[in-house]
Amino acid sequence: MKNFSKYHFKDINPKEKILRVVHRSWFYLFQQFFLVILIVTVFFTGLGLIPVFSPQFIWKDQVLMLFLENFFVVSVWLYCFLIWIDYYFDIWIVTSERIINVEQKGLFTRKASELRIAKIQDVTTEVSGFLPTIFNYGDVKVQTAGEENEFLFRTVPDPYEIKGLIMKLQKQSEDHHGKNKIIK
Amino acid sequence: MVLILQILYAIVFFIMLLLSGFIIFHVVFYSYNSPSKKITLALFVPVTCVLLLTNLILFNSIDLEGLFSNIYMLY
Repeated sequence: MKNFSKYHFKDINPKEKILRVVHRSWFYLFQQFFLVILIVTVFFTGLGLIPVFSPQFIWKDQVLMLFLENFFVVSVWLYCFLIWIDYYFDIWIVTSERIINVEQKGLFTRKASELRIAKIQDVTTEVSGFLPTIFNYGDVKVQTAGEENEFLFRTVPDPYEIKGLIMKLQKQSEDHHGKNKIIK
Repeated sequence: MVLILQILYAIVFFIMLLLSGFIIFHVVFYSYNSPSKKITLALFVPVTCVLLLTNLILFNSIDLEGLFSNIYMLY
């Protein structure tokens, strides 16, 4: 088991153990960055090809050209970090008592929700499509008793392992509650 | 025209500064662990500073008057 002591979550009980910290799959991040890489490639290839296809076209103002290139690079750089923030701060934490979901949407929307392991009724894994099957990523849906909505781990790596872990925790919790009922 | 362009640039530059500030804020206050916070900041802060500073210098180096007089001459 990895050492998760480096993660600091302020509202974790002293008895509660962090068992798994899940981010979205690296492939999701790659998909996001792929478009950026494509745009950058097209931009700089286009700039490089201008003199080839249009020799009469000469940038009279080199500073203006440098400024436009720099402006493009700054925009792409900031956009890359926005993608990174969206990826890195979207997180699911499985502890011995609950599942915590912190969802980051852009820079100004942050939603944190949690679900008690004891309330879990059903866990479903969905790996759908060619790439998810090859790279082993998909969704894990956790359904609960009561009015709460289902809890969704989106595009997470190794969803079957996560499902197994949640089911194991749910079983332990069920056994624990069963014992308590017998004692009472 | 030059003044309008300068004002527009100032607005865009301010937005970029603000965006950088918010990114730093998120990394500083919401990072889940210290090493990733340090690495992200060590990468983001210097590169962003250099890029923004270069952008500002390059914009101020553009001969906007000359540029617009060339455009007017075309029409």
